[in-house]
Amino acid sequence: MISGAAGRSALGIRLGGSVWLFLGPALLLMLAAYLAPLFDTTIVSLHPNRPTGIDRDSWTIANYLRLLDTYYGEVLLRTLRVSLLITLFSVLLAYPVGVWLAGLGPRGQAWAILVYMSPWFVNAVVKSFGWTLILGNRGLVNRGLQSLGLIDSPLRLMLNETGIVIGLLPGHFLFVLLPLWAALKGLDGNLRWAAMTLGARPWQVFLRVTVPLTLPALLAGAIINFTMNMAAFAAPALLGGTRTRVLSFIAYQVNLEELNWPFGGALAVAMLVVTLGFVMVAQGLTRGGLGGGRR
Amino acid sequence: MGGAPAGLEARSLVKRFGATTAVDGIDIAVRPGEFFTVLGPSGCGKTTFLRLVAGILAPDGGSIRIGAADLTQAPIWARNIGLVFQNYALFPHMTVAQNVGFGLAMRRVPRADRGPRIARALETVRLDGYGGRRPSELSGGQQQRVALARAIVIEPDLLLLDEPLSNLDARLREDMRSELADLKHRLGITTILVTHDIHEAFSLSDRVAVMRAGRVEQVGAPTELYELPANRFVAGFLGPVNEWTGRVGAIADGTAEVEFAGLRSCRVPALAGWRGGDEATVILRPERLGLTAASAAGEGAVVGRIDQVAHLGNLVNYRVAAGGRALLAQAPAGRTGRFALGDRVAVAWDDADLAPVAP
Amino acid sequence: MGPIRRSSFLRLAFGAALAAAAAGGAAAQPANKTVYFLTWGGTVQQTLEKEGWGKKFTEATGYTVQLVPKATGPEIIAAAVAQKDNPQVDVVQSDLLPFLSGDDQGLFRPIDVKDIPNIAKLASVARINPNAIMTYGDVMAIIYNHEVFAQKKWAEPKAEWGELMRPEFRGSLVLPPVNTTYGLYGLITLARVHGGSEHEIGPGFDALKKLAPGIVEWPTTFARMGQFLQDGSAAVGFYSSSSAAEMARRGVPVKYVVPKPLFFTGTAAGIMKNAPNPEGAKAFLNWWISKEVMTFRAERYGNVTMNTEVTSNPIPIAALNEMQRVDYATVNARRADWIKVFEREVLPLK
Repeated sequence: MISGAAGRSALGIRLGGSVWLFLGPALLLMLAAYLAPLFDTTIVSLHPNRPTGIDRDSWTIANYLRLLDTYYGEVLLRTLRVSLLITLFSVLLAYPVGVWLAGLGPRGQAWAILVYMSPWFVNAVVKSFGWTLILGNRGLVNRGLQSLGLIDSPLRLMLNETGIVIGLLPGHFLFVLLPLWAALKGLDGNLRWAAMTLGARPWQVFLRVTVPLTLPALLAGAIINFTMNMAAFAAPALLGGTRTRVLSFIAYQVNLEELNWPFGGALAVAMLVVTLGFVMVAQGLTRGGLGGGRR
Repeated sequence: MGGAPAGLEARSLVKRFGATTAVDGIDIAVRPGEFFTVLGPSGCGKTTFLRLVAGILAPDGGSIRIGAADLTQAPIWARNIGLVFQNYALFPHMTVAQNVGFGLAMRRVPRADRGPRIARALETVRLDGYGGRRPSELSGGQQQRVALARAIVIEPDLLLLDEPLSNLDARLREDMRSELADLKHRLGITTILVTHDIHEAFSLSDRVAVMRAGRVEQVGAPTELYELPANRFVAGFLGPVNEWTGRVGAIADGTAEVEFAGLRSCRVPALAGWRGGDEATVILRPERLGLTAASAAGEGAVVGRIDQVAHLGNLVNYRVAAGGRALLAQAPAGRTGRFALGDRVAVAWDDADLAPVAP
Repeated sequence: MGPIRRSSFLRLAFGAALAAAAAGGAAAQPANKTVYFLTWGGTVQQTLEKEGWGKKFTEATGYTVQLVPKATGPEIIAAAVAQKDNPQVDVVQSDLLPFLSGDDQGLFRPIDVKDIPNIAKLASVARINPNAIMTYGDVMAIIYNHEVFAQKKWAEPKAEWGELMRPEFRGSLVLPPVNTTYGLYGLITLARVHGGSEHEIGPGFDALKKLAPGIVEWPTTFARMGQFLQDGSAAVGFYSSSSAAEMARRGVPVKYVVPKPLFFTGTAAGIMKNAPNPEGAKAFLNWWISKEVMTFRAERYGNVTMNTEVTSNPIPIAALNEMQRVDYATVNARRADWIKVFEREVLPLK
């Protein structure tokens, strides 16, 4: 009897109650932790904000129209610029570091990965504070350069976009490096030798064999990296300063300082849409960009 | 294809990995156009030898010449060698045609010339029309043939095959072996095959080198190795063997009388250095042992009882307990002359089939 | 991130979880023995936890106080708004301005002398409206790094707000941004110095625009401002006097002057409507504004307490009568517009 019911489920004819029992927790978690807040945020963003709080009885798109203001346009552009710059640097660094890493012995790899992970052992706020000691006008870098006589007045390394890039790059680089490293390690070593016996020089092996085979991993990492750059909060707040605000900080400010949740919701939804748009473009690149894409 | 085939000469090749010496002073000369096999158990250094020739590894000593050129220090891409890997190592992101054309592109062969050459190479391995497929859409045997086409399309001076058949199932392996034998005649490329499979080695090779522990034990034509193995290792590695150790008696005209406990004394060609009273080992292949019913025992035959029978289809292996020894015999599986477990049989042999071996 | 936290769905789930947790512990300890106090971490946390006043509260009343700490006044009120329908906290204390905007949203219940006898001892200015009292306050100050001043041979600032405009401070100034309470006060102060006020803010923005290119950074918190003053990347700042004193105590080489007219910044407190523990809330608030606690706050942190029995106030309450009053209703109503002007016209100036 029991085996009969199980057989039916396995054939996909009917999902028995026991299947939902297994799927239930995952679906519930998704609903409760991801979709419900998102849904609620979207609904709130469609209500007007009044001095007495959110007016849940009326509906408006005014919050979204406010986003068209050039100020938010500038913030959005800055957020995208900084995020893409970090992703670009990460991608440029990924192959040299990844190839070097994949060539180390197992122990060397473990240690090196630990070093690349180390930014995550420190709380983001503490880490950013540490950066201010290094990058500030009287920080390590500027004092070093000044004592070497290389510069007269301190370089502006923080409280601008440079500071955000420097602050986020080390930590977020990991998310480009790890998938690429795994892909490089998974490459059949004989492919390299095969290409070389066929006359390929090392750089040709890299461009024609290594890169095409690991590009999907690199792009996957780049997508994660980009979304994390878009959502980063502490480093932009502390290293970018008040003049160099990014979307996530504006969203924080609107929600928690201005207490304007409807507009904050609109900001969050806009941020989500822009980030998702970029992710979809990148995924399209992965799928379409690799020589026909038949797998 | 190509001009006159080139030969390979490896001299005193040495390769160490840490404390172990994988290749310990190898001298191998492969003649132009020859199909040469390096045969040995796993870990004997044969793959290391291949990688040294290909340039994947750099030797710690010795030299490698292909044709007239000393390539010991030459980078891989400058060696003009075709290499077929055990796991094929096809580029998964390229079509079959792109795989085969890779070497041509690297050699800056004009685009217009590549197509016909790719087509010809695919035709050679009987894969015409497969150019647009991906490696993942092909069977193991087909992938193997793509790898072969990719290696030969560049008209290499030397074709290296690294256990090319070991990843195929038994039937495919047989097909592929005969195909390789075919190709060998059509292409005439100097080829080095590395394998642990004697059937592969014997059926394809002009000459075979048997390796053990980083050294070459013997080089020769397959029959030569089989009939006159240089030592017990070679003898044993090339197939089951009866190995008898006895005592040398009189030596005359290069022929020694050797006494074996439990058997009759035999006359075998004396090895250099044999003296009367020395211990001597001779071998005898099982198929050279004749079995008859004990009642029909001839002169000099040893009578015993069959204590093991193994049917191999076209052959039957017997083990006979006789004269205090376990004698291995192999006979064609015919309707006549079949014996069963426990039968009493007479074992006979011709002294001319005995080969003396060094310990 | 901010917006996700406050889904009504989550609030329900969270509330249910809290209720379940409370029910689980109910047998051991009655739930209404604990008073939840939503306010800053920082010095309040130090007072209640490190400096032992939490224990003294329990000894005096039998209730325990549980601090719910936030970083800034607006965050405190945001947290209170988030639980408006199902409050988890009893007493709320924050900057006066955000507190009043929270009160506009109907967060707080009326409190009076009958419930909280110590209210009678507060100065009359402390009685803001039926729902809110000022507990203590602070006066705004000009803070400066005296080491940098000595090095550059600058004259110590006089006790006048116009000092902020001194040309040599260009490139050494840190001001809180207008989207914070103190930033708003800075804007209003500058408006007043230049003949305007919160009713006529134009002169204030003109002054800010003049200063903006010479401003190192617009730090949003006390700690952040202290950091810039400490490492010498800035030399002059505008913040509250008690914060300045705390900076100096923590080893930052700063001194401060309190310019006239005094600019008072109040700290307000009240009780949540439908607070889970209303009796405990009253007991706590009464204790919090008592002579003992307020004396400690005045002596230890330089707070200007509203309790008239406190004798150790850094500034006598009587002096507050000389201060210029801020029209909080106007400020709260115009805040959003001012922030907009600040973000678009002042902030980009470098």
